[in-house]
Amino acid sequence: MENDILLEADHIQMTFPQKGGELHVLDDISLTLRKKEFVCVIGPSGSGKSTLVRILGGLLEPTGGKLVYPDGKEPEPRAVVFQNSNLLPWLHTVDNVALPLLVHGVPKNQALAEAEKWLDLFGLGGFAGEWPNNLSGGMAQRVAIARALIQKPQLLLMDEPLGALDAMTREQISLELMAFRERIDATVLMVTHSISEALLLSDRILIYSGRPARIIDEMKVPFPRPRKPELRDTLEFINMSKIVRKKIFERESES
Amino acid sequence: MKRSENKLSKAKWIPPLSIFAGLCVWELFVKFSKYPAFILPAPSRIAQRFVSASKAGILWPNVWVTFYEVLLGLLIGCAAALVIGYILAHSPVAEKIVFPYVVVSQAVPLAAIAPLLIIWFGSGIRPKIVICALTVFFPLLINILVGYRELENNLSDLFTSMKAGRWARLKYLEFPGILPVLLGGLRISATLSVIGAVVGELSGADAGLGYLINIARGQYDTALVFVALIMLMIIALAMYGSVIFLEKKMIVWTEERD
Ligand SMILES: Nc1ncnc2c1ncn2[C@@H]1O[C@H](COP(=O)(O)OP(=O)(O)O)[C@@H](O)[C@H]1O
Ligand SMILES: [Mg+2]
Repeated sequence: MENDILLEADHIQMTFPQKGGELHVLDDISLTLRKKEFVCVIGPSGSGKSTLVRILGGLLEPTGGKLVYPDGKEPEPRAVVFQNSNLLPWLHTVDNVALPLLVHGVPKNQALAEAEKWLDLFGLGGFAGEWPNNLSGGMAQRVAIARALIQKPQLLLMDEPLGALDAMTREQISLELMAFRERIDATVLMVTHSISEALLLSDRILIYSGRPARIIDEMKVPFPRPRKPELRDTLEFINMSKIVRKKIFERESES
Repeated sequence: MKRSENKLSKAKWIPPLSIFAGLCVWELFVKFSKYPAFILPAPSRIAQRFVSASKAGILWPNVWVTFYEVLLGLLIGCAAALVIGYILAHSPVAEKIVFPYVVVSQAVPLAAIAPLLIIWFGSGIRPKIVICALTVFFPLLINILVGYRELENNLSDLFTSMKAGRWARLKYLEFPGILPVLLGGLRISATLSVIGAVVGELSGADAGLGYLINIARGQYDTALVFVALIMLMIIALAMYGSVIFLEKKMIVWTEERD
């Protein structure tokens, strides 16, 4: 029987040791990621969203609860796009994109050819030989996304990938991401602050409470795929945004 | 006003001119003060002594001995610091065990242990190589550990998420990541190691520039002492210059913009 669940987080808790006590960051997080699903997480800052991404990415062991893989094996590869672009300053842009392949012993010319293909897709073909510190924030984040996608991940985790960018760049990249969404079949979990980004990209939105965090609400995003940028101007989209916003702020005023 | 000052500060001919002027002042001072040459020889006299010592074959063999000690000591100290630094950076327990010794070593005056090393290793070049290696080893080890500590956790997370092996981590993350701090440390240690070699030679040797200084001093051949000193300076500058060259060749990426 084909199982369509990729990963389940089962009552995950996370407590960090701290001077004079403990910092209880994740209270009780349970969630299910289905194969090829795009899920967005929205929540106040400091509520442990990055912590959750690190746990799901296998970078941090939770202090309570566990991750369950119904298929019996961990999703491989698992790519992470971090909150800052996290490019290696000593590698040219193209080598940064090729890094996941190089690290696993793919021959250099083959890895670089593949990386250039990805740079072209993001309109960065002309910047292959540039140092990361010479790239703008938007370019750097595109390179980081390309570096994640080149791994053909089964699970793609993105931690506010557009959070540090100006509104224009942000919108542009989110449209690019939407286009990619139709082409790759990774399961994606993305943390974001932007309701319209979440509605445009995701199949499901999880709403996070303040610290210690729980998932307080979950909404299906009903828009059919493939989606178009014009979707944002429709009445349904605007109404949906209102509903999500209301849910976030209702909860905040309650607590 | 400001502009002309800027122009002057960029002029390449000022430093050599300054040295030349200094030498002239020295020459004239000796000429008019009439100090005997064994107290303060004039630059011209030192130059003559350089030529005669070269011809007599007492200069260059000693230069090479010291150079060889410094170079070998530097290489050994550097290699040891790299290997041990790698191990300590990857094993917090090992670091806890070794670190007190590193701290204590910083408080040991090298000149004071040179006689000990000569007791242990004889009066040949071996104790000098050991002193050079030690002079280089500890500061470099500290720099390597600092470099590792400054490597961003985020970057380490990236490699973990890619399931990168040890070798890939070393090649793409750790080595280039600590390289600036490493070479910065090497720049200082390279000149320090010359001091190490001379200290070793002064405490007992049968060759090297320190040995030459001892001999010349005994004969009141002060000009020869100066010749040896200048050769030592040249060795130190050559070491320093080589490290700068390595920095230019190896650190080619653009550092942080702001
Ligand atoms: N390794 C850690 N050790 C101690 N505290 C941590 C650690 N990682 C995160 N925290 C703390 O956990 C809280 C949640 O952080 P984070 O997951 O980055 O939140 P968010 O991404 O939602 O803004 C913060 O207060 C942060 O200081
Ligand atoms: Mg965060």
